[in-house]
Amino acid sequence: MPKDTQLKKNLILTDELTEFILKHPDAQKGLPKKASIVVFSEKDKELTKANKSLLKSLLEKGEKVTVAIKTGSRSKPWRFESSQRFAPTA
Amino acid sequence: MPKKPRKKVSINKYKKKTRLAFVPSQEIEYNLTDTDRVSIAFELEKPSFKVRNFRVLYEIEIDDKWIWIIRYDGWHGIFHKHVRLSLDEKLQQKIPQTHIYDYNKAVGWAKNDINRKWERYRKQFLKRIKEGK
Repeated sequence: MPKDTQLKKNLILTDELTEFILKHPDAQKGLPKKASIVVFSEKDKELTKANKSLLKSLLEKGEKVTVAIKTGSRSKPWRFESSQRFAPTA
Repeated sequence: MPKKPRKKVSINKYKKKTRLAFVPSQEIEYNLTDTDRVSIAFELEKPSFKVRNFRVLYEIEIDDKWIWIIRYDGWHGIFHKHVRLSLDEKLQQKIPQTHIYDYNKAVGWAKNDINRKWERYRKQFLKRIKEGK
């Protein structure tokens, strides 16, 4: 996936996540106070592939990363996971 | 009759009250690519959970260093946009955005501005520092 496309898609997802966090402050409980996030969408396989590679490079640099996954579910639209759980598949 | 000693008045009483430093309740770095990220920090009022203060940065990585090129914040009670003009952080253009007073909306506006213009901001900044070298 071209870098520009990855950036555009990630910007849209981060917009949605920011709006969600501001509207549902309880969601912050699932995040560290200072969080480095890589977003994923369960529906977008191509973006998942590109972002897994991004996550891998961040982990190699020794960064602590939280993974935010857009689920598509109305009751729980976002799920947070630690990168350690996500990393083996990265 | 002996005079009563005057009460000592603390000078601090008359000192101008300084604005408290921005202490974000949440800081988030969104990694967009290996060289681009958006960082958001905000402080929420309780119990309304309205944004009291915030900062949104569009950052790019140059020579293994992350530097912001566009910054939006709500310091001094006014929503501002800062455009970085060189690698030196002091050289920046500060543009007040007086059309928005609600900081919840300001965060959305800032993100939307990055979504629409990130490419232009990036190109212009890289061009400026190339010419400056």
